[in-house]
Amino acid sequence: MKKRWIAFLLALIVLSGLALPVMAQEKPEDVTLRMLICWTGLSFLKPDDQVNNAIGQVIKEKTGVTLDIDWINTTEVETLNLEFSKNSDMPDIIMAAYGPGAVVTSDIINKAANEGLLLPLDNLIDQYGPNLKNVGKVDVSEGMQAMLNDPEVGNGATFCLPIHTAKTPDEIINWGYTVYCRGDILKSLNVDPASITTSDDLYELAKKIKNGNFVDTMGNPVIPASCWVNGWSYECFCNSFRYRTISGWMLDENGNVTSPWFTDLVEKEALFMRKMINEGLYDVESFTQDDATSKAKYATGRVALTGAHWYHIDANTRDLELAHPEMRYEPLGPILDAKGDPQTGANIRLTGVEYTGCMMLTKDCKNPEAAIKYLNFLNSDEGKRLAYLGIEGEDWEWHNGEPRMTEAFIEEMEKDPRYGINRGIDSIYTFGCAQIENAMYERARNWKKEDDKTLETVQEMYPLYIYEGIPLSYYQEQYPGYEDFRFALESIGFNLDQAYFAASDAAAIKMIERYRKALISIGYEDYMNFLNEIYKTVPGVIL
Amino acid sequence: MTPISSKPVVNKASYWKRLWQQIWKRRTKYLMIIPALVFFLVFAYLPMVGVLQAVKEPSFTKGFIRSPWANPWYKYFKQFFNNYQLGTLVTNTLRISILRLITGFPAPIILAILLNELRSTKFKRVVQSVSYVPHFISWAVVVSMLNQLLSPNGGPVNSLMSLLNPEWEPYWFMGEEEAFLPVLLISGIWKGLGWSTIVYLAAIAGINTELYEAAYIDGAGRIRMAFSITLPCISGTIGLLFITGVGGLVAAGYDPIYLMQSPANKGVSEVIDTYIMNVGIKSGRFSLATAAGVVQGALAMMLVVITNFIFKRTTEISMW
Repeated sequence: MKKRWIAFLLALIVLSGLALPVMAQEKPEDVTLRMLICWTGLSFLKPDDQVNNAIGQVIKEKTGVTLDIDWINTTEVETLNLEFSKNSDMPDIIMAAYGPGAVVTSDIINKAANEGLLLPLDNLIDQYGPNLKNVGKVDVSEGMQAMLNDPEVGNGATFCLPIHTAKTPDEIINWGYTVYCRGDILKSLNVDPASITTSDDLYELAKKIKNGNFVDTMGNPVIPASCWVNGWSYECFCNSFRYRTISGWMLDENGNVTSPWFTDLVEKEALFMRKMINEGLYDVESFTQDDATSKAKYATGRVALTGAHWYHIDANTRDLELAHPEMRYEPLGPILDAKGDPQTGANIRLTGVEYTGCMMLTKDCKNPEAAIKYLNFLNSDEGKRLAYLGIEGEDWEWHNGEPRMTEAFIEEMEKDPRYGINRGIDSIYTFGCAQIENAMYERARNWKKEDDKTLETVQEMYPLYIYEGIPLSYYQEQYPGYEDFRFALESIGFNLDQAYFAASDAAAIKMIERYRKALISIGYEDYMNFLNEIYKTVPGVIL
Repeated sequence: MTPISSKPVVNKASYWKRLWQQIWKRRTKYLMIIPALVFFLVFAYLPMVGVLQAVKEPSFTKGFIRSPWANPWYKYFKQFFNNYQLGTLVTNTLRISILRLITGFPAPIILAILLNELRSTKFKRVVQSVSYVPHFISWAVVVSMLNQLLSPNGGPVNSLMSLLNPEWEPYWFMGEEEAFLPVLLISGIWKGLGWSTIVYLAAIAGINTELYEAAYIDGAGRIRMAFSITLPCISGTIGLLFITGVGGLVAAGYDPIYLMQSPANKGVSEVIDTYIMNVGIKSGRFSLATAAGVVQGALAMMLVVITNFIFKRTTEISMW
């Protein structure tokens, strides 16, 4: 008996001796990685506790990584320049916009890569990131692929991992950009949302709202029309004067490439906005207001008409809606663009993204291996579900082969609209996920919201337009002397919104004419001729 | 025979010895100068090496010493002078600076004289202390306060105006072009007034009190004494501060203008400093920003030298 016990103990020791290294290997090393989210306006995704939230804890268990996230308070361009100029003590990971559609930040990132400030990722991905091998290969546009593989940047190495891309074109998010109106006001005025199809219709509606003497929950008079931080996205009101193309270029009556600046659309837009501002219909303060000021206006339903995408409006008016369901914002339109199509800047897309947030590891990254392993985990099916839906069994469960949120989760969300974000769901851990099954996640979240058709409605109003080809704007850098030309262009320093505030209509038109003359004086016509030549001779180029 | 020199014989060793003896004798005063010297060395003279960036290509990693020379070296100066907005920038900068000098320069002199006339020392100290407070509030906070106070959407000022005049339409003080300069100038005076009086109050404290006593015996009143004694006695200080103030004419000040800038007022609010920030620093054009800064600095220096020369020729006041 004694011998048996000794043998059993010995066997236990041997087995535990064998098992311990295995366990030690499985337990990843704890590491805190500093991540800079170089994208303004995303801080609403920040959980109250960025470290000890439920999803963060699971990710730490799986990868050993804890995130220490910095959010920017100034522009992306300024932040990137300052971070790279520091040349030391940079964050471990930076997320910033990259691609042909984000020329300025891409130039800075390319420069940083060429100066060795960003780590080449190929070897790291080979060793620790099997799930990252396809990232940026099939989910981005041809132009973006060319930029990611440019042999003249970072010695041809991969240093950028595009995130938030759709797994297939069917999964591209339709954000639902349009003008929304407080529901009770629409009802009171007996206005059919579908009857508003032009910017002028919006003007008439704004006048009715002003004369209707509506108030917010605090009894303050409503602001007929406003927007969000720094005027975003007032262009929703001007959709009738915007000729929507992927590249921003358009064709004139002779079929030649031209800029909207050389059409009467800009005058029409300037005069429309002048009218809105001068008649007290549009909130002038919104052009320079900060995030907190703008959100405070929506917290009490102070704004009647607003332009943004539904996700933003939904996230920032949930408390108002809980207390005053009748005030729920409703989409207007479709407000047709200058071509007469239901297109906004956001529902015309390429099959792959033209630019998106990209993850980069800096040369100061204290543990590149851990960072890649972290990104690798987030790009596994398990990791993506964790980041977007939460913990299986607690936040979501399988139903007929598809995930869907649990009743308990939905109940908590109804009580506290920030419950999910504070758990870390659909929050900071999505920064790292690529090739997303957005449609499936939407179904999982909304399976019980049978009466909530807002997103569906606005998506039907503005269906996605998916184009294939290389946008003309991709070729603009090939214009001889483009750098000097771009500087000259920027140094003119005029934005159309300045004309909205001109002293008179005539003064607004004069400002625009002066700008056109300035464009011509720096050789803008040559530049347009160059692009026209490209458009007519290079196959596969689209506007 | 030894030739006799017409020049006095200077014993260099004894000169340095005497100088050192004088310094040692006044060592506490020299010690007090050291922090100021270090401040200027670190924050004013050492950064001057950075002007090299104006003739170099910008690089994140090489810095301005090792980065390659611009080709041609004046490339970024040329870019600045060829700038389409240059005329507007200079006009706006000079307009704001001159108005600031006109409104902001006399205000602390007037306040200092008024404070000097107060009989209650306690009250004087309270007023002085309260007037210093705005200096310690950052422009970011001041502009944020102004945004709240002057908001067209329920801001207290617009609400008050509506109460007084039911016809009043909410006015966007912080955005409208015609309101920009008054708001900028008034807030500038409010913020800097108390702090700027310190120098003048110190100058006034140095005036011989016998002058006032003599004037009093001669029957002079408070106003006469202010104009005939106080102002002439501090004219040296006023002159020196005016000369340095003229140097600031080409720098309209960055913080408040940048923070108050909006699409509506950009026509009058875009100045050289905001241009350096917007087109230079924010867009990563560090060399262009430096070139613009060098031009600005050189112009400021020229203005100071010319003003000093004019003052020296017309009055006895001069910086050197």
